[in-house]
Amino acid sequence: MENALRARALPVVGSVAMSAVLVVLLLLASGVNPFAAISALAQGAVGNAYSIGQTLTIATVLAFTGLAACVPFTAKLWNVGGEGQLYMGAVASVLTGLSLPDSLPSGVVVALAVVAGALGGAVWAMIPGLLTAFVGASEMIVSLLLNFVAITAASFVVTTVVPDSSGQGTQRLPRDTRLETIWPEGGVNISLVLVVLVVTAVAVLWRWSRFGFAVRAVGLGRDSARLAGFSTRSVTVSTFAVGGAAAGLGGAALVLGATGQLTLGLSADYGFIGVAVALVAGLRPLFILPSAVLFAALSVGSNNLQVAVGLPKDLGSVLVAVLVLALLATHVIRLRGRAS
Amino acid sequence: MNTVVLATLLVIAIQLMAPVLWASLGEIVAERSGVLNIGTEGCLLLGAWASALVLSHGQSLFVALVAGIGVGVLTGGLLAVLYVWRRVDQIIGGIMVNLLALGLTTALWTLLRGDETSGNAPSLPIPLLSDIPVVGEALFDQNIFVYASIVAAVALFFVLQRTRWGLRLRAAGEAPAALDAAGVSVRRLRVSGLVVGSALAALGGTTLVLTSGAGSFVFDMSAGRGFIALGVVLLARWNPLLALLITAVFGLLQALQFQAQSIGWLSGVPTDVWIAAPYVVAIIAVAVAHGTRYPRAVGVAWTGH
Repeated sequence: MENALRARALPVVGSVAMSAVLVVLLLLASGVNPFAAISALAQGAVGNAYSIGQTLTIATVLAFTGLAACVPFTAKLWNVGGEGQLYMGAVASVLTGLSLPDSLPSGVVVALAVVAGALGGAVWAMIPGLLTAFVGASEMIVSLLLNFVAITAASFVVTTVVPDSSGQGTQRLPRDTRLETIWPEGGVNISLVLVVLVVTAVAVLWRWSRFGFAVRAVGLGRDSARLAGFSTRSVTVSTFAVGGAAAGLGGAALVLGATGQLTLGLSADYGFIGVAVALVAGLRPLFILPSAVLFAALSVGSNNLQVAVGLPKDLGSVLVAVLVLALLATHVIRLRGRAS
Repeated sequence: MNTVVLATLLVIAIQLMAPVLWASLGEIVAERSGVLNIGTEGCLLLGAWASALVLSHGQSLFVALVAGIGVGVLTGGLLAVLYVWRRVDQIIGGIMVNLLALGLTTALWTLLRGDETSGNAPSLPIPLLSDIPVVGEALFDQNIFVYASIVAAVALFFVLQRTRWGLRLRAAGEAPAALDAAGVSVRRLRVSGLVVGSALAALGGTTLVLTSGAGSFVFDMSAGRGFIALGVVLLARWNPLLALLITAVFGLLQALQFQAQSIGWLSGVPTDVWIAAPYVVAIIAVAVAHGTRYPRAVGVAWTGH
């Protein structure tokens, strides 16, 4: 028992220590006091009500993109297109919000915009899903390349379809058609509740539904799942659709939030950090929530590095990547190869 | 379309071809050895960053070249530690290495960049041939890194077909067990495949900096070229000469975003369509090439020696 615990805990401690050492070395090389940088990071993430609110807001988005990776990954299907699916959800959501007539009650407009976001992401994710299921294309390469198409499409919407005067964002949605704020000091809106519901729903599906069982069966072994009567095709298409819908909701949460517009740099790699979120959660849906909070704290906290110690905020992505690579290299995160 | 427009289109197309070609050659070497290297995108970006960095401190082109290759070798070493030694999943590991490269290059460029503006690499006109109208300038009056990429494609073809290392590399990807039985270390071959492949991809970054209008580093300047290379390699069936042909087509597609406005019947199409076109074509190519068989052992870590 004690040995088993040690065998599990040692690599975790080791890899966290390893990434910490690497980051401290990087900080020293840039001539910054590591303690100052770490305290700036912590201040930025949880220093006051507003920063806690920011961390929760970004955690919401990361939990959505984490699901976008987690659901297909469970079936050993590599959806690395969360970034693009998030953008397409944001595009669908903002266009719906702007084009619905004013005569509709604002609550209905918000609800429709959220649904449009989920649909936008799902439809976009169905492209790799269908191409993989019916043509046998590599879902990993297709979903990866579609990110760039989606970002270009989003920039077309921003600069040409519904531009505002700055050219950096779309027209803003009216205040009453944005998501309702549930914690004013932190600027946290109702999408936080939505993400908890969605994650719980996926967890329930995983545990108690035929769909969840089919997904896990396909993940464990393609041939045996087929022999047991599960259709790998329908699992491929549906896991991509569910994952894409989740990423799309993340995009909707971003554009229907505080600013009420789609901007050019809407996502700070949230789609890719979602892969890290899903992996650190061990592909268990409920663990996605704490995992998303962890990565959101790193991401939001690193924004403060610039102001406090003059370090570029992009060190946040470095931190995320180094941590996950260390966890992968020490086999804390384990993924068996695709079953053939 | 007049000849000036056509000539400019070809010049840009060949310049845009070169970085994708370098990346594709790097990916071919890695995949032939049995490693699916999604980290090629990161290698490209890191190579561009390293070359631009030394150029911005007033160093010579040769130093920029060495810096690019050096960073490529280091990245290849990191990838080898992850894929070969630690047997990390190649897709997930690659995605994380790319995220690392994106964050690191952006952060360290702001911190370390110098003030020198680095011009483009000198072009090397080949006498007589460069005077041919229209195609002459495109093909025979180019940046030296562009020529080098074409030479590298031809050289790599012969290395893979005719040398002992090439043969063993292919065996490591196709039948590692046979190679192991013959007493050759599969791991060592894959490490060499990753190091050489990453260095080639990093040279794509150097070329990117030296052919871009800015002549300097721009945030995320690789813009998915490493991912397009994944599609190119599939379509080229791991053959460097076919990769040369296919990347030329991609170069032409990318060049249209700068030149389509001057071509009468294409001028109405929004620029964003041309920006997206190479990715869309790569996706279609991946879907069409679905029957292509990867080297048998690609993506499977070797558990022996």
